[in-house]
Amino acid sequence: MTRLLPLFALCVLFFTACEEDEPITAYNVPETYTFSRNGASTVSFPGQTERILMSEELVGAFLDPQNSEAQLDDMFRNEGPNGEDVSPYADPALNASTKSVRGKVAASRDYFFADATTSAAVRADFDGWIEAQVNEVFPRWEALAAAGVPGQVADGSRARYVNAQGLEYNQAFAKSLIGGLMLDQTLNNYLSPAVLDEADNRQTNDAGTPADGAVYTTMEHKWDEAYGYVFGAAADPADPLATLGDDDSFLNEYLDRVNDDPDYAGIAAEVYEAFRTGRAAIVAGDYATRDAQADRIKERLSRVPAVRAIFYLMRGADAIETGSSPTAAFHALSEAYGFVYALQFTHDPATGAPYLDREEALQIQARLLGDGAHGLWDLTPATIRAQAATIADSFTLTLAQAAE
Amino acid sequence: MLRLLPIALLLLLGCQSETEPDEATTTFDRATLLRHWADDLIVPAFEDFSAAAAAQSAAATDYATEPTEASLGRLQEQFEEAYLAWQRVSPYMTGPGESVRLREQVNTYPTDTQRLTARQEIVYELPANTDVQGMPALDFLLFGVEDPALHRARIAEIAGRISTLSGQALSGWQDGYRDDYVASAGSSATASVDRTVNDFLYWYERNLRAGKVGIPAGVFSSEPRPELAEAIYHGALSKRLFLEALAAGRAFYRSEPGLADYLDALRVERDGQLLSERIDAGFVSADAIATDLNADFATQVRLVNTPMLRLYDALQANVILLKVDLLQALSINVDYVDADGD
Repeated sequence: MTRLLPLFALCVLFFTACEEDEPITAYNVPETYTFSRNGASTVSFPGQTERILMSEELVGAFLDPQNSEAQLDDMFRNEGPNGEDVSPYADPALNASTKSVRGKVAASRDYFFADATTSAAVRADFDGWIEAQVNEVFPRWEALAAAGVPGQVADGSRARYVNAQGLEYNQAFAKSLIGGLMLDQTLNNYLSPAVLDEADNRQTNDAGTPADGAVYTTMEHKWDEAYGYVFGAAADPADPLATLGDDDSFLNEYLDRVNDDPDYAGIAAEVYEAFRTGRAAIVAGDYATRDAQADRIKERLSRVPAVRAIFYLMRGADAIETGSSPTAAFHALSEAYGFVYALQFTHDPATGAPYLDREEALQIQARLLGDGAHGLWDLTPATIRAQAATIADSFTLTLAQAAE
Repeated sequence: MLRLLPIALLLLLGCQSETEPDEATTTFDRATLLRHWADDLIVPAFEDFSAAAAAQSAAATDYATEPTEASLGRLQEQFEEAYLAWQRVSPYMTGPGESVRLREQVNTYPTDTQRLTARQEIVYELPANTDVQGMPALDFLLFGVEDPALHRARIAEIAGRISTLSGQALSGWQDGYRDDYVASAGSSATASVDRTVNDFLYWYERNLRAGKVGIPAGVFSSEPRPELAEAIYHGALSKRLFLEALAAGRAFYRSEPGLADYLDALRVERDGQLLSERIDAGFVSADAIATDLNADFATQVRLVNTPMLRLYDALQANVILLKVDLLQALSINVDYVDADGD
């Protein structure tokens, strides 16, 4: 192993040049995400799976106007306003869980450990979308929307429910959550050296000392928790690519969508391979490889909201031009609006910061609503395309490739 | 048509079909093509459907006034006529059809029968009520309930709305859109040829191939879904509706000047055969397969699904020729993408 280390350093230095090669390892990387110690599986991420399922129920509840703001808040927090236990979910297993979605929004070590101010602002954004859905959109559930008036708009043969600006809060919430919960926890928390190497994690991992009452070491578990936010709802989490895209409405689904674009084909397999390689590296105590794989994952998964934001923006611009009403673009633009919000949680391994920060993301969102008094109703294709170009530049993506 | 295009042909003789398509397509007389489409195909199809919808509405009013076996029978006949006329206009949703949301409001199925019958009052303009109106709702109320007379007010209401909407779309064409349509003879994505062809392909792919065949045959689900077929309550109409739609699509494709001779003018070949002939053969083989099926596609799916899957495959073969080969030859970009599931 020591003889290989200089090679490793080289590989890390010239990472872009080496990334096509097989990883250099003196240990086996399993074909599936399967790891065990003394015959017992060490892979565990039930909390991540639960939060994905809670998020699914919550996003679904945005479309039932019978729900009160308090009910949606309970689903977001999994506790009442005074911290009391609540049972807001249809799935009894989720009601029995002590996990909370809101508690992990904007809660990563890298970005929010010393920034409670921004964390609180992000959570307030999510709380605000819930409140606005209930107070602005629900009362107009059975009415047509118009510029400045919430209600229904047609999207093909179905209805979408928008605010006075033409924005679907359920889309804004769901796509923002891909950033605020899934990406932030994965990239900026569990794949962070600060979390993986916290306290005596390296010593206990080197010695193979399990965490209290568990089979896995703490470091193994942290890595698995990152994996769980991407693949935790898979039919078979050890072999998640088989059902990729069908397993949740969040990061899993949109990793699949990006993977379906021929320009990014293979991104899902790369992410999966990087997770397996990094996890095998942890078992072998090879922390340089672990961190190199974490960086690969950060770079690849950061592209997901960027590509999808550009895709929906360009589609929205086309829909305004070819459609008979601006409302034809609202659904795509609402998805884009949420994905733009998610960009502040991306992670550029070269800088340790998002490719496009919160201020820039909020500015793009403001521009999408700023062409006239009525938000998306007044939005022009030129403004949309300019925002897509800004995102493409920040992520060094090609506009045309992402737009397909 | 060939004689009109010597320059285009000269340009194309020595090169691949991808290299000079812009020259060729701009040489093609798009204004003549658009005039033909508008005046000889599209507007007459709207006139026919509008007349059939008006006759259906009149029969529904008669039935509401005097619900007898005879008036029900006449209404059911008018329903069949209107549904067939609908198939002939459905490929042409460019412009007024789209602004009126004609296809969505006339033929979204399956109907939410529970909501349709439970609601005292239906606001038909609401997008959320798209699936409790149109021909599928009439199919249920005329053929799927124990006593249609109990629903005769609603039947008249829905038939009236279909007639109103079809009239709005027709007058949209007559009062200005026809001239704008013909005048927009350029080759940009928003010009009439590109939009008409895109809307035609969208119809072929979504409504003809998927809606009438693929979805009930279970191509997009784990199991066949016969309950998602067209006109399931009538029980002997869906094959005729499909054949009428297929014939309308073929007629549009072969009409001169039109897409087929456009391709011939460009001498586009695939595997040593004229592309235009291969596409036409695809229409013919789909027709032959469908002709042998049960009059009711839902019944066909329940009895033996394999022939439905064969029909789907025949339709799918032409999707590739139309959406890739034909569009490439004509330098038209696809302007729609697969719909999101969310």
